[in-house]
Amino acid sequence: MGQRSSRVRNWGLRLLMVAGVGALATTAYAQSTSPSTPPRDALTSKLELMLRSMRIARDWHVEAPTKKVLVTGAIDGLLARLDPEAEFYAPAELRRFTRVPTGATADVGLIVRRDERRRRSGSLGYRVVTSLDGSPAARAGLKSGDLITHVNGQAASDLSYLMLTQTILSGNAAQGIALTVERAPDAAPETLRLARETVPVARAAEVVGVAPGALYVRPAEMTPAVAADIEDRLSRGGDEATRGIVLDLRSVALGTADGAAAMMDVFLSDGPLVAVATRRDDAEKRPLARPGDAAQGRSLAVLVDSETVGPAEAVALGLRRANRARLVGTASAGRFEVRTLAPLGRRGEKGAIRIVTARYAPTQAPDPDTGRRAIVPDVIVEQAPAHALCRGVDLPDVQAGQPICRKRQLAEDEQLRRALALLDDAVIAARP
Amino acid sequence: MRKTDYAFWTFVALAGMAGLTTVLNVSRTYSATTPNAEIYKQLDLFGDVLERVRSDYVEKPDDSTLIDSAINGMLAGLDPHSAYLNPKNYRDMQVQTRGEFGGLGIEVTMENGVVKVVSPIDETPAAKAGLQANDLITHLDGEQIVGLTLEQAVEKMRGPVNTPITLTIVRKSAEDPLEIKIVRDVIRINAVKSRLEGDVIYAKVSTFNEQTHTNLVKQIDALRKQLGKPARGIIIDLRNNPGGLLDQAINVSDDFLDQGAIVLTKGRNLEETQRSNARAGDIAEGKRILVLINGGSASASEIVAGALQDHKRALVIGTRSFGKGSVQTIIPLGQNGALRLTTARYYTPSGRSIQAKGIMPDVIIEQELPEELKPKRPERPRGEASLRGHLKGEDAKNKKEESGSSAYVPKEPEKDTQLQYALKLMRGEIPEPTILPRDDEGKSGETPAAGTKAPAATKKQ
Repeated sequence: MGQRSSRVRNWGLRLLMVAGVGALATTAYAQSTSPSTPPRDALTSKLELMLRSMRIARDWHVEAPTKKVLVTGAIDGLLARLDPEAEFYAPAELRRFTRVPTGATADVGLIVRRDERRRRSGSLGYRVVTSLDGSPAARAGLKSGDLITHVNGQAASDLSYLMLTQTILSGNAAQGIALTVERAPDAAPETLRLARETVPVARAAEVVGVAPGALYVRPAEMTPAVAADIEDRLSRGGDEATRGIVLDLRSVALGTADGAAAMMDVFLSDGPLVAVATRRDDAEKRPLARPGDAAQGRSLAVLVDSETVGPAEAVALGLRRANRARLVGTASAGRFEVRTLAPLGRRGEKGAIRIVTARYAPTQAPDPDTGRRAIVPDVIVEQAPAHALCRGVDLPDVQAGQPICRKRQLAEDEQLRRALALLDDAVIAARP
Repeated sequence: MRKTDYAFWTFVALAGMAGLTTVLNVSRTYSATTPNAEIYKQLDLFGDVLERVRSDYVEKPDDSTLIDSAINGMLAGLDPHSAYLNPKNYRDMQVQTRGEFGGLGIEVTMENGVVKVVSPIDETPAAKAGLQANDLITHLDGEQIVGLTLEQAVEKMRGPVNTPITLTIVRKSAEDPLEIKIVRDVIRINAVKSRLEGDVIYAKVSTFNEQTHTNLVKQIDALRKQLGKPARGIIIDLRNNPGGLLDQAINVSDDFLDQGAIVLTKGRNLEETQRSNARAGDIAEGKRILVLINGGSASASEIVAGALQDHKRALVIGTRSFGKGSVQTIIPLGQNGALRLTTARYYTPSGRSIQAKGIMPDVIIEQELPEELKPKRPERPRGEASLRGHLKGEDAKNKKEESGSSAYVPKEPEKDTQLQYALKLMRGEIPEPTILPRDDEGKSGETPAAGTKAPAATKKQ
């Protein structure tokens, strides 16, 4: 029997080789008959290689895989090539989101991304990009780089991004969630309990005098309304800003391209503003600033840190490129990408993929070594004293026996003090 | 249809809340007349995803690398050992399994952006040209190394036999950089390192390439002659040996066995079952054999350890092995590289599957970790059972799978607890250990009998 079985196997291999030759021949034929579209041919032959590999795996792999398993693996492999956050959503999973009613939402105020180490090595979970000012997540001390390994006892790596953000971190009702978090590579994991809260309707901007002749402007998010608010306040009280203005974009993660454009327009009288650009968009097609600078050309310093994200990064970069501002703080998040849930099939009946389809413009070019797009400020100032629990803009404190993070005062905010000093340098430099 | 539209717009609203603006793309349908329509149809949903990425991704993707990744993902999704080998990976793999390549004959590392010689290998062009340990190689054929990865530098040093290369060397004892011209020759990766420990032969097998069996036989023969009298026994060290070629594992097992099965491989169809039998002859001449394994012993190492253990030909000492009980077949794809596909599981002669379980030593001897290497918190699980998507073992249904163990081996033999134990046992300096009973002994009835040896030439572990 053994003798026969090995013959059977050899026949199988021979057939495989014949099949291989056949496929090659077909490719050659296809190439010789349609020379007019060379790029198609390269793609076609690659697709044929894929089809052939799929058939070999289906016929020979020890576990007798189904076509569905093979196709799912191929989609995973393709998306992993784009970036670690690209995801596929099956129709069944998409339907789960359609059941979430819109309207009043409750949120823990956490922005996350999937950890870069994924798949083969096993994803670790989700990284915190930032927690929103005053949110339950910020009060619990969650900050950029913290690793969420489990959510309500389930491995975070098994949750899709939309599942995590749309049905757990936010939802239609206040609800408690348990997050297991590693704050440092070797730190023991701790479990935090947070409660979703209803998001405040309006987010304001803070405009205050922090030193004689210096105004401090802190927008909560990059939206047209907040920009209009700041413009209004500056046009009424801008005369007092003889030394200049500090625009604090640390931990600013929310906003839209419109809002970012409006924010830049506050400080610019000409030149391109912020836009969202796909690969087909012309980079020069960005909206232009209207004449007039609400700050009347006074010195401008912009504070950035690792939790300055997306639209806020575009504003900081745009103001620096226009020679309007100098940047102070630490390297930004480097997240200029705009991700889209792109439907498959005519109307998403085959599911959807979540991929990067556009970027905020201006965009920081990627670092050749790391590939990261973080903006490195002109003046690098680490915030001291650093504390494991709190973000750069916060300080640890104790209330009612519970450790919390509170906002820094000017005297404690080294980055803000350096920004103010920079304004004075600029004033001195401008004197004849 | 309305409802689906609504669903997507809901996302836009919600995603906006989360701070990352989302734009909705108008669904674009690709023409059914594209030349790839028929292939897309067969590739199913993958075709939809590919077309969507090609049209909407923020940068124009390179079709070729995208599909390479897709093929690899398709295989990697099946088990951790299946993969697509592009032409370069395929060549690298061939070098590894063949155990020889055209090169200089130096072991190197990277230090401060330049290549540092760890040691020249005896009888190679590098050794003959006088290269020394700690030499720093700064330029290759006049081009500087700074900026290259170690892999790239090694790639440049390798090349066809009889071709020359000029190295620029900085040596501590020499003031000016030296230029040394070396002609490449065939370099063999020595899979076996052996020595005498008194009257005990110690052979460390580090991988199973095409040279392993021949090397092992030659070296044991040489050591026996050097000893001039019968050896007390042989210690075969398979620790941290990740495996290699199946036929080499069979040959090495056969070297010490006179008869009986060595390994069974079972494909997904019954008729693909192969059984390989030992032929008469034992290069150890019946002397005692001790086999060392640890958490880094995988695949072909486990076949050898399992075969010698089942036949009670060797006592296996150390810690539980990795647990990779599957066979991969290399399927060449012409100019496009090859597929490495898991096509079978293997079983020891008594019918044990190693998959996600490993070989349990007859005597468990743990390696004492030095203080600085002791884990600060409980370590993550290791071994095959900890790999994502591993093939499930035979009796995995109801219990948690575990395999592997520590892979630490101290550099100094005198600190090597496992080796010292084996030496003492061999010399009779300690009493014979009580052998741990195995929970799966006597289950051999279920394996089908087959007669021939595996035609294993195309197989790789």
